[in-house]
Amino acid sequence: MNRNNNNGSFGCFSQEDLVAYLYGEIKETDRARLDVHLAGCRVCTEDFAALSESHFSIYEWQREEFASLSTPEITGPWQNLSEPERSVPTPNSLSWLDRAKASIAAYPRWAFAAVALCFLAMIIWLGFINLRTVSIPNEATVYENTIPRSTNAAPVPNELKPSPEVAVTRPFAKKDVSEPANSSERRVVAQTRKTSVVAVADNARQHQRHQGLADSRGRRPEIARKAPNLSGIEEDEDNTLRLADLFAEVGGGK
Amino acid sequence: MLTNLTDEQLVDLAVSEDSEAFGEIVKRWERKIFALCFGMLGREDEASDAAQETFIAAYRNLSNFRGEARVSSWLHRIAVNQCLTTKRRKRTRAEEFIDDDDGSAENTFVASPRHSPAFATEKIERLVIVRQAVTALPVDLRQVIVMKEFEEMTFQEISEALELPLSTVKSRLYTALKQLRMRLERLPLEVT
Repeated sequence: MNRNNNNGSFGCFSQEDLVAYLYGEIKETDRARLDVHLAGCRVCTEDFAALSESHFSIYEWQREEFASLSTPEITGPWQNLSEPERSVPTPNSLSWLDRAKASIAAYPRWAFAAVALCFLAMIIWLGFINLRTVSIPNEATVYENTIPRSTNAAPVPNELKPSPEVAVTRPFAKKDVSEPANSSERRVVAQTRKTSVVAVADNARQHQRHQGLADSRGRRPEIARKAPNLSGIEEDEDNTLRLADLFAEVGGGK
Repeated sequence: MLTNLTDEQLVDLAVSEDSEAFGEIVKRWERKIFALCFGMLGREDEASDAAQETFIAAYRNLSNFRGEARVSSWLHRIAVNQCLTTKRRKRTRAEEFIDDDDGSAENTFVASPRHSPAFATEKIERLVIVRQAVTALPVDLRQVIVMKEFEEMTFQEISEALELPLSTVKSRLYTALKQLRMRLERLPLEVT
């Protein structure tokens, strides 16, 4: 520890020891020894005084001009990445459902009006479709509406079922019909067929109304009943009657 | 959480794109780096800009940080280079401090009733001389004396920051104080 200093005097402390002593970073034992040495060494005392003066000058400068300064706000690109709003999703990253919820929450009255308008438009559209179906019927549709589709349909009552003799008197079952010989008999047969066909038609209509009410598919029987007659002929005037007459006349012509 | 980590651990996190870790580094070192820049440049505005540029440069060069070096050493090296660049760029001269001084220090001293105008003027002149003397020191000596006086670092911390032996730090500080003493004895004649 004790060595020659720059002046070569024996027992003086080194430059490092003087600096450490100046700034209070020296061991306690060395401090006590250096206190004693400085009191008796003129060279070390002058050297230490020069260091102390410089140290005090800088300290004064630091205290007067720097200590009162506030630390400048250091900003940089790292702050932009650590902002709290960084975790907030941007509007582009929101899903349509989130945006819809946000819009509804922001404008509840407009949202209610939009929903009501959509509901009204849907009702109008359904009504238009229904009206179009009724006003422009398809014959196939009318025909489909007249017969039960469901296999789970209610059974036909016995009183509505056609009698066996009526059932066999279908005008198109030509080979099962025995033709009469003369014209008077042919008229009687034709009248009988006409009566039978009318009975079959009535039974079919009653069955249709009954079955339409019991249709498990919920088909509206009114559609079939209210379907206009495109041929312009009354319902009682069944085309089968004319066919029967035609068959009768043809048979009579033979 | 971040406050419990060392500087080196924070840099590792910052390298892995954890910006909050670098923010913690800035918070730890901004005062010391500002003090270093102030001691090296002698002006508040330049010191503030240099400190700002120091941390921006450090952030941009995170990937170049060598793990074996200390963060304090890395930051001080960047700050000293930044100060030298600032000084070279602006070609600041000691005389310009007097001409460009905004007078805030004078007003402070003049407004104090405990000091006479003559005393305030003498003190201001002395501070200017000290500032000139420090800024005229060689960079290696100025760096040590500023780190000791302005950053109030211990010899051990300076040794680690500069990656120098402890005895070298003390020796440089001794030389810096001695040269400052000689300049302070000579400069009043130059100023007047």
